Amino acid sequence: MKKEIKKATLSFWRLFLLMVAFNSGLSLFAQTQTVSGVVLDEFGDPVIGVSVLVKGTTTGIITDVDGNFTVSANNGDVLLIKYLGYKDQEIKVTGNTRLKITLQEDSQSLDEVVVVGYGTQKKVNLTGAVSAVTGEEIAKRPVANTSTMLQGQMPGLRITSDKGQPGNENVQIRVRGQGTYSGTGSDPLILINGVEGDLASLDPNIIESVSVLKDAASASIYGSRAANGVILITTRNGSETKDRISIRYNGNFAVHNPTNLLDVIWDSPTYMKYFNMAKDNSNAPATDRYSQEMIANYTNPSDPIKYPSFNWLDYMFDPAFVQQHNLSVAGTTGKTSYNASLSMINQPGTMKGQEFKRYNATLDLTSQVNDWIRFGMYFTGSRSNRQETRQGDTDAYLSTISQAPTYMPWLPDDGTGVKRYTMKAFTFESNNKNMVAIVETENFKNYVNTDVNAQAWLEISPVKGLSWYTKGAMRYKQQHTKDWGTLPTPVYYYHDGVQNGTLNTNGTGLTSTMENSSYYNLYTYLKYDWATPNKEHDFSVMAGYNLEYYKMDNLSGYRQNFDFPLHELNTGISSVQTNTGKSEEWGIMSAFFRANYAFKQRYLLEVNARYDGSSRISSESRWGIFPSFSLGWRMTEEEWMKDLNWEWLNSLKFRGSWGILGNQNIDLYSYYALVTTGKDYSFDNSNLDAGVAQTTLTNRDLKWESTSIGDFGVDITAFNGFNVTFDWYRKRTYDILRKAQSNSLLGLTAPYVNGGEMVNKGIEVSLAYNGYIKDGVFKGLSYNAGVFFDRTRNELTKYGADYVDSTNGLIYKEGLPYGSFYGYEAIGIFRDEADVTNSPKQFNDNTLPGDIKYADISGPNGVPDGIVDENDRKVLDGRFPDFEYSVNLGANWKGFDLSLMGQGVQGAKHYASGWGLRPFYQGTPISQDYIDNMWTEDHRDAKYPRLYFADLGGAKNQRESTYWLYNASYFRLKNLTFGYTLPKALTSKAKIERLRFYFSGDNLLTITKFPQGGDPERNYNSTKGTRLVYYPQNRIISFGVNLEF
Amino acid sequence: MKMNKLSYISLLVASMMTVSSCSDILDTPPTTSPSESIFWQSKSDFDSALTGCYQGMQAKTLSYGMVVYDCLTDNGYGSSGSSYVYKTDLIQADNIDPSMQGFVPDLYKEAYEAIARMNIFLYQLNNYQGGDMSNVRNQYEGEIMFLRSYCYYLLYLCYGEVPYPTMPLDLTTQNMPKETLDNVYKNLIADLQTAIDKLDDKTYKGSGGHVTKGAAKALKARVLMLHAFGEDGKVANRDEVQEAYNLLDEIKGYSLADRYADNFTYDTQESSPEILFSIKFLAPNNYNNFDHIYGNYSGVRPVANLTNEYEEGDNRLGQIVAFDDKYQWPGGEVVSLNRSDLKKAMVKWLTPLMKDGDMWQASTRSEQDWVFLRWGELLLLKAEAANELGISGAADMVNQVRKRAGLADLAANLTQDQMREAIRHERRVETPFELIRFYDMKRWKMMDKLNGLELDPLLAGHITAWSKAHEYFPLPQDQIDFSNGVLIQNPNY
Repeated sequence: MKKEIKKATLSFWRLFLLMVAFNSGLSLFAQTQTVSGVVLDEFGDPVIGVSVLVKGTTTGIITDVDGNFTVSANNGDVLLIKYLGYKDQEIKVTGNTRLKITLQEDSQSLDEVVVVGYGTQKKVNLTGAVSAVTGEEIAKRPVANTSTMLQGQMPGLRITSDKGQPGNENVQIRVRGQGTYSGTGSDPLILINGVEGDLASLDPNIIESVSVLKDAASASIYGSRAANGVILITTRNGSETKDRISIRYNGNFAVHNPTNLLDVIWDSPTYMKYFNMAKDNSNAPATDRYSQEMIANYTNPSDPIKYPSFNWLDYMFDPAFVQQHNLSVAGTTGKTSYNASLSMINQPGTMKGQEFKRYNATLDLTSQVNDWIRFGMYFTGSRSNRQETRQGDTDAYLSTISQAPTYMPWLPDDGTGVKRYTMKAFTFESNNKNMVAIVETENFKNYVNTDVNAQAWLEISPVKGLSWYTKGAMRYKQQHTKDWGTLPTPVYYYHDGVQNGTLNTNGTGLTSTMENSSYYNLYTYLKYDWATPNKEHDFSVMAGYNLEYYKMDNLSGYRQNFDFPLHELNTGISSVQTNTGKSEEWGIMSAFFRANYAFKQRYLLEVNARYDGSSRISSESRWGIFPSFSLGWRMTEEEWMKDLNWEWLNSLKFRGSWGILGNQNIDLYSYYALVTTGKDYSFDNSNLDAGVAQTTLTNRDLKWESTSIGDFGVDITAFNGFNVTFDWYRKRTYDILRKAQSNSLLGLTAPYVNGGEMVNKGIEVSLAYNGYIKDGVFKGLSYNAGVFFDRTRNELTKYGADYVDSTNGLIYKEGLPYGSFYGYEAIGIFRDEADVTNSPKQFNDNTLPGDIKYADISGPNGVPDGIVDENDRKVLDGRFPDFEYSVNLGANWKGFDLSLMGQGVQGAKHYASGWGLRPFYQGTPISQDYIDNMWTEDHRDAKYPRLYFADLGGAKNQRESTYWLYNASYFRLKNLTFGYTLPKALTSKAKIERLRFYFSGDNLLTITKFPQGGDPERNYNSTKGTRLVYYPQNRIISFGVNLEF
Repeated sequence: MKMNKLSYISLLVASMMTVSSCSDILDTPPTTSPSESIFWQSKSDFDSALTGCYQGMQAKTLSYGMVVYDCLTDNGYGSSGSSYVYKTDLIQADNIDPSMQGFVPDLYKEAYEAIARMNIFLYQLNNYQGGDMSNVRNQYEGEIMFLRSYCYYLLYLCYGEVPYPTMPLDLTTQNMPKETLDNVYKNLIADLQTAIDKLDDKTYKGSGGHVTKGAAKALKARVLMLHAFGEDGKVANRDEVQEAYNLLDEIKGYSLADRYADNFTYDTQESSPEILFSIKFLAPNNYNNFDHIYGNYSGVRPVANLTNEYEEGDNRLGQIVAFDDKYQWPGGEVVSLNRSDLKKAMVKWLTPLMKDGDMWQASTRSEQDWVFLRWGELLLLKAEAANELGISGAADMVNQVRKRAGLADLAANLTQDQMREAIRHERRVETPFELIRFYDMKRWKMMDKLNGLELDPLLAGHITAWSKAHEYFPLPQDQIDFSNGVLIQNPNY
């Protein structure tokens, strides 16, 4: 597609130059000598329409169909060869020889622009740290969530997705690490066409480009919301079509499978054997055992229905068939360009009960009203419908594995035709709720989301160099949630059919919640560009104004008892009902300013500033100013560099920047002293009296949380295709808006204060190479390879009193990374009684052989004291990764295209616990790995503790320690795409501009040492209680088609 | 053309100015919660704030969570797998550390949260000049004094030396040193006397569920009887016992409910004549998790050491414990309760399940009131005081309680020591899972009984222990950390 546009553009230029050539009345025979030659492209094919000029004259010509030219010139004259998209060449005329000129593609096009705050900037003139990627590159992955697509695309942008639940991937986006520890959060600001938006609901097919503003220089134009970086999304408009209509269809058909399911033993006799062993070791009452007779019944059963070995996990997970379709029409009619796009995705989950559907519609209009007025509109709407089991996907997964294989989800039909769901097979078994019953009786939570964004803009350019741009936008969001618990469903013992209670649906009834929010944004700016006539000095200034307002309303109702399974409140009985409602709003007002100056395109200077006022801060300290300064030096523009004639070095630029950014995302009303309603109490056990209480202490003297970022960067282009970008940065967040450290005597929620400071230091390296093969078998093969690398070092530089959060196994201490792991050092498993006796006493535990052994590293006086207790905790590394990296490879040849993207994390650790790591936890089956490596009398050098039932023997084996900290380094092949574009000669007969078929695979391979059943790709906020098992990510095998007319 | 351009632009500028000059978007006061500046203006504000103070007492460790106190004693065991027993299994095994989670930090935090709410109330009441409060000012102040003392009583019982704030605190005043044990006691006694002086003398029913003079007297008697014992477990301060006796003797208007369990089931509590003070709940909106925690999960498990204490024919046992996971509520079928691996489940306090197949769930909204002061227990406390003082009538009081339990009277002419044993036995079997056992074992200095005690033959992995050094819990470590060096940890931690 892109290439075709290029061609069309090129033909246009050719024609233009041809006309110029004729019109300027070139006198081809006026000179004494005739020079002729041929111009070829990099593959040796002749190029038509190349301009060949005699430098310093108006003499020139355009190459013909065979790339030939003939021009009159004197010896010593210089021929200037110009062709759009290729480098200019100068060739000295030396005698009457036939010239053979090979064009060199200009990979670092001087005209390449990057979207920056309130405008665009030529890439070569950038002085800030900005990474950009085109929509085409990111849309390769066949996934629904657009934010996931940005994974591994840019250095410094870290995206992790916790799980694969459709429509709820829990994606965390971080620009250059965790910026703060305040409630403001570390999420970057996401702007879609300049207006705050949501990546998850965006149609990836309409994205033209994505820019990430990482340093203060590039981001401070967004002031108080830019501290965690800014992601700018620009959508396609139809202007690239030039007087033709382009109709495109993209379709993708995929099969999703879980990347990794917990591997445990669902064979009943084995389950029963180890169940008994665990009960023995846990000293459970003798009655809580499978008898030999029961085990015999399940061994090679004559009736496998009565005595099953049921694999619950296998039953709940199935391959899911997912499809995506996109249809778009773009074109230009007269002075108006348009682009309309319709998309849909239908993604059932790999786990029963979970599904997601989304529809998107987008319309973009751009009109050049006259030579000085342009205006446009952008309208996009999305509607999605997500369903999940009502207690959430994590609960669904762990309930699925919290079952014994000794029964099926339902009892054999007793002839009544009524489906009876199982409680369990034997009374002494442990289990969680029957998920199959939950799904089949439709205990679901449904989210219907609507997100509409309408924008209109106007650009006026009354005189040359001056433009005035204004945009008004409105965003309306609605979330309607229905949480339904069916009427009590009886559940039965599998063997005798005796009822035991009802299915745990977490209550019955319907909660229906409607939340509406509207957001308004208006901004306007004036921009003036001016250069001295000799082009030595370039100036550009921009100043603008911005106004935003947000309001949210929420209304929720509940009724408990329904006679019919009709999911509307009114069908319920009003005897038990509740309702709630609330609203909130905020506003922000800003002025912003930018000035650029360039001297000879060599020295670049940029100044940005934003002045913000926010409703979230009291009127006394509401306004804040956020400036930034940056410098750039394009060394290769220096005359002395040119004299060096380092042909290999195409471009070298140094840049440095410093600035301050803000963070305003604190609680909306933190400076108002409020009393809380709803503190009700019944004095007479029949009426509820309304009660209130002050529950929070407030602090009016809050000011902005600020982040200063210093950045130093180098951009290098060499060997006509090798690009290197390096950035070093230091990001300091100070006056962090955090809850004051308070003790319980205060008795109230502590107020926000400006206290605390955090520093992130890091480097980012991006290496990329684009090349092609000029001859041989693979002549014409173009390829690219890229590696991104980034590392961040986090340090808490100001916090207050050290805080050990033993609930979560973390420590907050100055000089350490924020929330470092803190716990005991597990040094193995006690071999035998002698080992227990000869080792330091382990707390006041009932320590037995086969328990985890903790190291005695200290005591009250700082030296080992022969007792393991609280004094033996220490800081454990791995909270943040050493570095992250990604690899991109691609190749194109004769219509075939191949691309590969991998992403990895090195040096991170995650706490993981619970299901999958605790045998028989709520009845979860044991894994073969645990059986093989656990402590027994016969296997004393064990990796895992002795087999206890469910609780690992209690607190003694559950302490926060290195035992539960797992190596979460991984490398994952995120995507592999292989496509074939049919030759145009073939397709053009059917008026098809382009027809491509492709295979795309996602999450195909993961290399990691993380425990089986868990996924190492997860957000960096694991704590002692974090579960190993989540809804597994999806391994996607998909086929797709791109069709364009 | 030129003019045209200019006029277009000036029109645009003008309209932009109009739109963007609405600077009031930055003033967005809260739309859902009232601001404190418009509160504390009339009696109705104080009424709702008083209600808010009672609501503060619904915190788990101040009300329904108190069942777990028995898991610190020889009465019960808090299952290690349950988060609802707040790690009492570790405390019962003397595996205590200042950073531990559960009971130790939770009680401290929730008690001071309730206290802060009350201190704000008292401060505002003190500053309020309006005449509409004059009739109720004393009563309100007395009620708050009682509730605050309730909290300090628990802190005193568990942590011993604690800070004793009586005024609202802020970030600059929040770091308070702890008071000596003696001062905590004296403050508590003084506060309770203030409450007694200010409160109306009505019965619990007569006061409409508010705190009464009788309740304040009962709590003061309880505190006195805690303090009166010496290190040897014998009465060291007869005056305190005498005062306790006098206070209990002054309480009128209460009698034993016909049926023991009527004090603990939600539908019979309100009409029980025995209750002096309880923390009330009203489902569906103002509920607790009683049935979920203690019924569905059986987090708290009665042990054989307790059930063996009952005499043959004591009808209370069947109203407190279900054996072999089967239970029959009056008028219902035999239902299965199968979460307990000790084959004994606590049914006291639980909402009846009338037929098998029913079960409590996580979503069950329970509304049984937490009974804090009950005449059955106070009668035994009074008997104990009488016996220690040599005042006659102790046997009669004990026999009232025994009679309801379906037991014969005590043998006549018991010696004082025999009577003491009889009363101690009776207190244990009358009051399981009401916090009383922990209170009694501490004041009688018999916590060391836990060393090497077999709680239950089925409970082999759990070894109970107690050390004098850990007589009081540690102050939570984060409280020490965040006190800027002002708060000193209890000894031996």
